[in-house]
Parts: sequence; structure tokens; C-alpha cells
Amino acid sequence: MLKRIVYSFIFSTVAVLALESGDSIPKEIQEKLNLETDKVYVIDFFASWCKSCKKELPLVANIYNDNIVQVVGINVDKNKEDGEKFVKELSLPFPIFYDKEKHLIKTFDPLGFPAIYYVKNGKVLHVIFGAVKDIDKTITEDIKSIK
Amino acid sequence: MQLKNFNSISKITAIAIVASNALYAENYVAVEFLQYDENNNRVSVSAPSLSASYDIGTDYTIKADFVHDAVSGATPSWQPDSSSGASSRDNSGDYIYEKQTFDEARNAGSIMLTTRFENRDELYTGIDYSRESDFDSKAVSAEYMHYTDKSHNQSINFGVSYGMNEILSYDYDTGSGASQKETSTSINIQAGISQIINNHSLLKVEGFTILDDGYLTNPHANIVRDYGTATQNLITENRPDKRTAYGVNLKYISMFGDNLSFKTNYRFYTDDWDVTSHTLDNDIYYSLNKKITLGAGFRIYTQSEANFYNKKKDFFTDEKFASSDERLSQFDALTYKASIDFKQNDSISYNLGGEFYSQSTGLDATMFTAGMKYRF
Amino acid sequence: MRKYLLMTMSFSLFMGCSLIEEVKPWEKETLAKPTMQFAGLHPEVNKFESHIYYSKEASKGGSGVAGGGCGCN
Repeated sequence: MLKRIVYSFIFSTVAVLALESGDSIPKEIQEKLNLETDKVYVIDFFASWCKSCKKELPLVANIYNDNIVQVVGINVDKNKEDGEKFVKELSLPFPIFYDKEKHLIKTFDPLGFPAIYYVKNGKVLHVIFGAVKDIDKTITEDIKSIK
Repeated sequence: MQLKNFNSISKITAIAIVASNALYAENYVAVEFLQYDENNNRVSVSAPSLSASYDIGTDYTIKADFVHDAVSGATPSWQPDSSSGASSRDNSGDYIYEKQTFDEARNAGSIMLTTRFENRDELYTGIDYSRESDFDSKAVSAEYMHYTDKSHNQSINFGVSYGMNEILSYDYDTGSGASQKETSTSINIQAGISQIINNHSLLKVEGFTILDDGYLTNPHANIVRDYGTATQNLITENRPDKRTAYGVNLKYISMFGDNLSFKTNYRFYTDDWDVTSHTLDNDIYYSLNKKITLGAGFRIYTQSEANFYNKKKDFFTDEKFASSDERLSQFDALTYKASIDFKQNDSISYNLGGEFYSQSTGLDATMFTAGMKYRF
Repeated sequence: MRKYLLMTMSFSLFMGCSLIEEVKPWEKETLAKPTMQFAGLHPEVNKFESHIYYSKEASKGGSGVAGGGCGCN
């Protein structure tokens, strides 16, 4: 019994490692996000309170509309209504998942915010954290080299 | 005069304020109307202001503001007591501490640029300019904020500003009334550290020093020398031409639940004029709903008197430095404040606020603010 | 006496450090609220308020370096 308590304590204090390039995304998350095989996805974590997100998301929406790459948005607002209102305000055209309990973002555990992951076949290919100028151009160039 | 002292104040646009706002920068234009009134028909100030902020991409924010102060009223200083037969500054009559009337306008503007680097450190650079009929002030400032950790939970900041003031002093003492241009400079250095305590609290500690050099006297404030003697006279006060100040600022802000935030700010100040002060400023904001936010707060202030200050007319004889300016005296002050913010929609919001300020010197004042902000 | 002082300081430092939590960038929703800024909801009003205090009181500083020194008191 004591051994069990000690092991639980040890494992509960071990930090979950952030997903980095080369890491695999858990299968249940791939299924939840409807990630198809052999397709490159841009997974974009954002929130309504993130001012950089407000600038970047319309640019990300453009590359989705131009069929440059598949995009999946994950909103992490504590209040889902705030997230929905934000999505509507920006007219985001790509699929959005609402992660108010933060299960998804805790798995990815990005070091910055907003956070963009390039994903293919369940593997993280590249990560971009924080505000990036001309993010649409950056993603377009990156996707060209991946494809 | 009191007016000049009121208007020549450093433009406390607070790089710290800009710093915190820049992290959450948004484009806006805001108009604010501020009205300040003192008791006993002393000073009254009407100050409409206009400010705007604009993000240029993700790496730059430019902020500008302009204020027009129309100041009128009267502030107390030693004057010839006409009821005693006195009619000029150096005579055998008596002196009385009473209000001097004035009317003045000031225009002031500032521009600030925030530059964000790849690691999201920030550099703030600003210029300020203020002008009125007998006072001119120019200042430049720069501050750098550096994140010390990857999660941006801790940052350090270091800033410097340099200000140059031109004051028109009047030669009341010889009765000629001739004016002379005097100058002073001010160097302000501030450094601090900010630490996020948890996901709903933040602490900031800063130290500062201010070095003033040049004409620091109030040319419209008088003292009485050699009262009750054959050589008694009323002359302009005289302050040292240097002033070195140090201080520490502690700020803490925290959210309780989803709707109530509490902010406290303690400042310790001391200088080589022997003025030491303690300031404790507290504010709470309560979000009643998505549209209305109520604010309330109070400020407690206490200061010791300058070592060359005395309010009595029979005190000063041949002291080099002397002032009877009440603002250099020992006193306490309390401020009570309340405000309401109404968000009409995501673009437009209105604010209304009131403050009551009371000093143990007998000065009471009210300040009302009303404004509108348009975000885009 | 020195030993007790050192122990007290070390304990305080440890307690202080343990009170500080690591907050992830995506956990800063509350900290991003306008009511959680040191500048308050209206920096323009704060500026005017500071202006008044600096003209009516003998001390100054601590609000940032913008604007340079003060010729007011």
C-alpha cells in the first residue's frame, strides 16, 4: 500500500512533456480532431483574449480558403461562448474544437501562445509559438517544403 | 505659481502603464474630459484629452495623446496685506497668506513607440512636450523590458528619461516685473522586476531615482524675511538648485473569483530636501456583467516637510533656502474614488468616474472624468 | 542569532519560491483581463490623476520614466 502511494506521488509530480517536432500525437486525439492520413494539418491553438491570435487567425483563414493546407483550430477560452463569439467575429472557415477543459492543450503543452503545430500522419513536424509577422507567408513556405 | 507647478508636471504616461498595455495592445481612439475643482474657489482645471493607439503588425505599437488644460483660480501665497496699508512687497505694512488669482492654458502631447523583438522583449521610446505661457517642457524616455523565462512569467525592466524645462521667472523683488528664462533638467531612472505568482496574481517591484538640477524654485511663491524689523520684506522663495530622490514601488494585483480584481500599490519616497512620503493606493474592479464594470478605491498619502520649509511669516531671516509653499509642508491626504464603465458593444465603451481628495492642510478637491473609447 | 536569521531568511525564500506557480502561456486568460492591468481601465485618467498628485504633493516618481522629471514641486 505504501509503495502504491509513493509511486502515485512520484508519477503525479512528473511533468507532462510538451509535444515537439518528431513526437507522436496520441491516437485518441488524432481521432477526436478527425486527422486523416497522408494529409498535412496546421493545428492552431487560440483564445479570444489573445491579441496576437486576433491578428494571426485571419491570415491563417486565408491559407485555408486558398487550399494551401488543412487547418484545425482549437479554442481554449474558459467560457465556450466567448470562443464561439470570437470565431464568429473573425468568420473563421476551418473546423474549430472547443477545449475549455484544456485537455487537448495540456497534451500538446505549447511553450508559447498562440501555438501552431504542423502535423502529418499523427506526427508533429514543426511548431511555431507566439506572434509571427506574416504568418500566412511563413506557413505557405513551410508547407511547400514539407510537401 | 501653483498653476505652473500644476502644469509642468512630468507626463506620467507611465512607461510601466504602456508596458502592460503593450502586451495586450489593441487599436483605439479615446476622448476623455477631466474636471478638477478645489474648495474655497482655489484652482479649477478643465482638461479635455485625446489619445490613440495603433498596432503596426505584430511588432510595433504607436501611441499618442494630447491634452489641453484650461486652468483658472487662485492659490495661496504670502501677499502684502492691503488692510494694513501695505501696497507693495517691501514696505512697513503686514503680510497675509492669501490666494493669488491666475488664468492659464497648457497644451501637452506625447508619442510613444513600442517595439517588440523576436523573443518578445519590448523597447518603449517616447517623447513628451508641454507648453504654457511661462513654462516649456521637453522630455525623451526609453525603457527595455526583458522576459527572463520561456513562459514569460517573469520580466525585468530598466528605463531612463531626460527632461528639460524652461521657466519664465518674474522679478517681483525689485518691483520691475521683468522676466528671465530659467532652466532645469530632470533625469529619472527606474528598474524593476515583474513576477506572475499564479494564473490570477501578479507582483511588481521597482526602484527609482530622480535627479533634478537647475531652477527648482516656484517663482510665484513668496516668503517673508525679517518680519517685524525695519528690513522686513516679501520676496520670492528660494529652493536648492539640486534635488535627488529615491524610492521603491511595490504593486500587486489579483483576481478573486471571475469578477473581482484587487490592486494595491505602495510607494516609498525620500529625497535630500528631507521630504519622505508613503503612498498606499488601492483599487477594486467588479464586473457586474459583460457590459458593466464598477470601480472603487482609496489612496492614503503622508509626507514630511522639506528642511527649508516654514509656514510662519516671522520665521525666515537670512536662510539661503526658504519656502512657505504648503506643498512642502508635513501633511496627510486621502482620496476616495468610484467609477463605472459601460461597454456598449465590442467597439464602444463609456466611462464615468469621480474622486474626492482631502489634505490635512485644508485643501479638498474633486475630480470628475467622463470619456468614450472606440476600439477597432 | 546569525544562525536563526539565516534560517528565517532561507525559510522565507523557500516559502516565497514555493508560492510562485509556473503559469503556462495558455493559462493567462485571467491575467489578460483589462481589470487585471496595473494601468487600470483608463491610463489617460491615471495620467491626469498623477498630474494632480504631483502638483499638490512634494513627492513624485515610481510611475515610469515617460515624460522625464518634474518641474512642479
